Amino acid sequence: MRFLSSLAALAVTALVATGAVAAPDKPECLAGAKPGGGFDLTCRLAAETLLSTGAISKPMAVNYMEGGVGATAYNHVIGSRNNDANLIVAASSGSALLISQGKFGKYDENAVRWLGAIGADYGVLAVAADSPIQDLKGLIDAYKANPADFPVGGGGAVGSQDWMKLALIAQQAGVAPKEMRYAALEGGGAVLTALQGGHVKIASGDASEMWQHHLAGKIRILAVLADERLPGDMSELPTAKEQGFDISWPIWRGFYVGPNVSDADYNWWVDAFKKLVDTPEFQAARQDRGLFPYNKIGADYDAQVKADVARFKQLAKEAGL
Amino acid sequence: MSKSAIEGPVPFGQRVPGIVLFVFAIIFGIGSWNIEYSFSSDPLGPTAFPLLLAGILAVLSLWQIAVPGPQVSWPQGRLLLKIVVLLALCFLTASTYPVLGFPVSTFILCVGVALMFEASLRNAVISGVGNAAFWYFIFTILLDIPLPLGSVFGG
Amino acid sequence: MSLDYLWTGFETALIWYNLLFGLAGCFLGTIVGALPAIGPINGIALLLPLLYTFGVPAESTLIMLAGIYYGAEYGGRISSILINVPGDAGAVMTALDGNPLARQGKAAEALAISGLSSFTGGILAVIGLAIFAPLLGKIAIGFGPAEYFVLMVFAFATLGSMVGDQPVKTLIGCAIGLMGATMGIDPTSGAYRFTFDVPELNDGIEFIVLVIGLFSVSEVLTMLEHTHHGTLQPIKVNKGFPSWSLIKFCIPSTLRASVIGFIVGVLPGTGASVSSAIAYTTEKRLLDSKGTFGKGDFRGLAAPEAANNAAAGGAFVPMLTLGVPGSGTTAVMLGALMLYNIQPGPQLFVEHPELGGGLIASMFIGNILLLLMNLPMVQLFVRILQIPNWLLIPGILVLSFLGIYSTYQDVFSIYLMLGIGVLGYLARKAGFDLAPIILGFVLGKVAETNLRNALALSGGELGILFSSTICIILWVMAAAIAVMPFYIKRRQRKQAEAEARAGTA
Repeated sequence: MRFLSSLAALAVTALVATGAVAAPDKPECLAGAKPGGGFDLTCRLAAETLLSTGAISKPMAVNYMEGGVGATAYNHVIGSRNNDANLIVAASSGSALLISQGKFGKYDENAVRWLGAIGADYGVLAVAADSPIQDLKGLIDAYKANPADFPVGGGGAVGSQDWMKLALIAQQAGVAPKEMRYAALEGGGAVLTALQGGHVKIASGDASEMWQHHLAGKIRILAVLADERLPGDMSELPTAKEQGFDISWPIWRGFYVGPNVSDADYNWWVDAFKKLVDTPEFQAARQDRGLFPYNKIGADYDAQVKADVARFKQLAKEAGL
Repeated sequence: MSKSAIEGPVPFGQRVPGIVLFVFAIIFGIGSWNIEYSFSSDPLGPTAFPLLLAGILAVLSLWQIAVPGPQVSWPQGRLLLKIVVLLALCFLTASTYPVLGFPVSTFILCVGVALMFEASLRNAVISGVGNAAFWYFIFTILLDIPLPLGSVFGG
Repeated sequence: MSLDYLWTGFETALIWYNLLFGLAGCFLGTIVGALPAIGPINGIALLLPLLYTFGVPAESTLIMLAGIYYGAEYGGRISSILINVPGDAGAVMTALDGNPLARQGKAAEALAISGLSSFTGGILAVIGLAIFAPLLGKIAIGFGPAEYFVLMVFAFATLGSMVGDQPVKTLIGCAIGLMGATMGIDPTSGAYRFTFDVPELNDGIEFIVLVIGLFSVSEVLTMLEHTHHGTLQPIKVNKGFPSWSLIKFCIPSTLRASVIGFIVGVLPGTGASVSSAIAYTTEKRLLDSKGTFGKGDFRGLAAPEAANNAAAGGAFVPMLTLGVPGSGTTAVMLGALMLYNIQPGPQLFVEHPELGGGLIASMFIGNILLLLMNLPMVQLFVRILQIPNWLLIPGILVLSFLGIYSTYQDVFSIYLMLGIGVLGYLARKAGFDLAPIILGFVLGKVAETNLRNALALSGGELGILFSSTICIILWVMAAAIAVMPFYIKRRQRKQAEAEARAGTA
């Protein structure tokens, strides 16, 4: 199969004039999970578009290192590939959350060089289609009225992003996050079936995954946890902010490189991504993968990651973790 | 656990697994008791299930000590030595993957293991070259799964 | 729902180039399935970007992916039977009776019977998928944490069958498996359990690491022991095709296992390993009055193979009716569809009949292709047994290492596998069966997580475990399977007595 992919790469590079000079000679993207997950998607988005726009001339290999939602990869890169300029590693706001909770082992957010985020998804809160609850205020009133019998669910353990989103809602309803009747389900699919089957009353999830089910009339999205309405068809979904609740939950997707990668190499990648996100090829590919524009590259991104880690620490404290 | 099981005096041998399991159950129970967590959304929490299992295993292993079952013959002498050598070879191979690379490490492993299975030196070398080449082909060429080539060779 | 979409589907799937894509998928799938730790996800992840880049149409892509998907289920059994190293999670139970059969010189029959039962399970699942999908989608929704927990109670009730002549050892094995499953981040509270600050252990022991360690490493050590004592029996290789009476002997088990596998496969929270485990233990519970299961019983081979193929089909039900993946592999296929801007769900059959129908039709055709490909290849596969040990055994080790290494890119997992293998060897020496360990491991996580989620939702009320019709039905089934063997034994005894009386009269 390798010769096939090389052939494809050759065909593509023949079409696009290769301009980059200091491009990495063996570009590689590491996904800290199984093929098919979010990290894989992030890597493939970069690999495909960096090549098709001519930023790199050799195809970028996508490799997988499963373990601890990126924890194994984080430790591996810091431990044994900390100066490899060829290697970028996929990360998400979930990585920042885990780092803030000390779940990436002995390393904190300062242990790598944060490169840039190139897209985002946004948290949503949803109820079953036949639920009497119509908006966020109705949800919080219903929760307030009957806090002892209000099962909720999300696709992660206590302390995960899905749990955090619901904890923010519970706090609005005057329910301590500890008292939530929260089922930690296995991923977004299980959340959707639990919601449709009436096993939970509210579910938290991500916009791109839940949207199609909202469209199909299976569930109703009450609020998008974004500062502004999402583009395109999804603009019909109200934000939490406009309903009077200042809750925002972007799930960005980006990359980091090893801590000892030189400034020159780091800057090469920063420039490459800055150029990449403005190309129509990239924008089309990003949309295909259900991600929204979210470009924070270089110093901006570094600041964002560190701000997120601080915010998550604060949230965890408030939630009593 | 493995060590004590092998070196235990032979007449006592049948009871060794039960004793090892009992000790393990106790350690597992202590470990379960000390699992740290801030809170759980369910009433059982992360400790109840492991604790229950530790208790069950403790009872079962006591039973096993009391009624050990049929005689067990543990590997001894040259066989034990062979097993240790084979395992050492395996650990060595795994730990040299990043340095020596897949082809070289595999060659060493296969030659060694083939010799232990009473191959002639010629056949052992065939096994080493053959296995290294065959699996390298399957994984990197056919399935496009990268294998380490070894840092000493600049791979 | 009318079945017109199916005809559209067959028309699409039978176009010559789509058949070729399907055949290529079946072939690649068989290879990735036979290689331990490498599975359909690898095959699909490898091909998908390629197909997408070359602009291969969506229905051809889907047909090829379905071929990989089913091919892997067929492929997994080959390594299970021949070298006692399960090729994938669904093929673990296949090794329990499959490998003893190969050792007895019945490898060819074992491969053929398992091929036929795979086919039966696969085809029945596709038919079930085509006819009952919408109805089954509703059942899948009905399964919440409480229902999954009671399903696991049923599974543990069938485990009673594993209690052989050494019940304490069986129970110990099961407890060890359950303990192993608690390692890693607790999915409910997020607590770290027995991870010893090693990030590689955060996800616990991966099933495939456990299985390869227990089976392949301990197998190699056992072979070394036999070689040392000079007691290694050369395995005879026969080229026989199973007789009709043998096939007939396996039919009831195959059919029952297909139904069990399909239903368990439909549930998004359980997969091929759970379904084949339940099918195997149920058959053993019902049929194993003479203790032949685990020592080379063809029914114990046919059941898990039928079940894991039926589960593979069942996993498409939630994907096609609810748009929710039923397994890791279908999740990747869901991603593939989204890449082509197609959203699976009930509207798939209305908006893209050629796709929904094409998928079902290609699964049907894929199964036929795989059977046609697999039966003649039995003669080729059994030659693996004729490879001399000095070539085969290093090969088994290399393959085990590579499977693990390429999944985790990390030598720690290999150390873990070797450690587990040593423990597995010692356990075998001490007279423990490996099967209960595996069963405890497979069922433990699902049981614990769902019980705790159910109690979290009910606020600690145990009533939730009896609150739905599905729960009640499962409790009744669990009770029935627990007492069934006693009932069957009594009836057999009565029958024998009646015959004896009739004989003397």
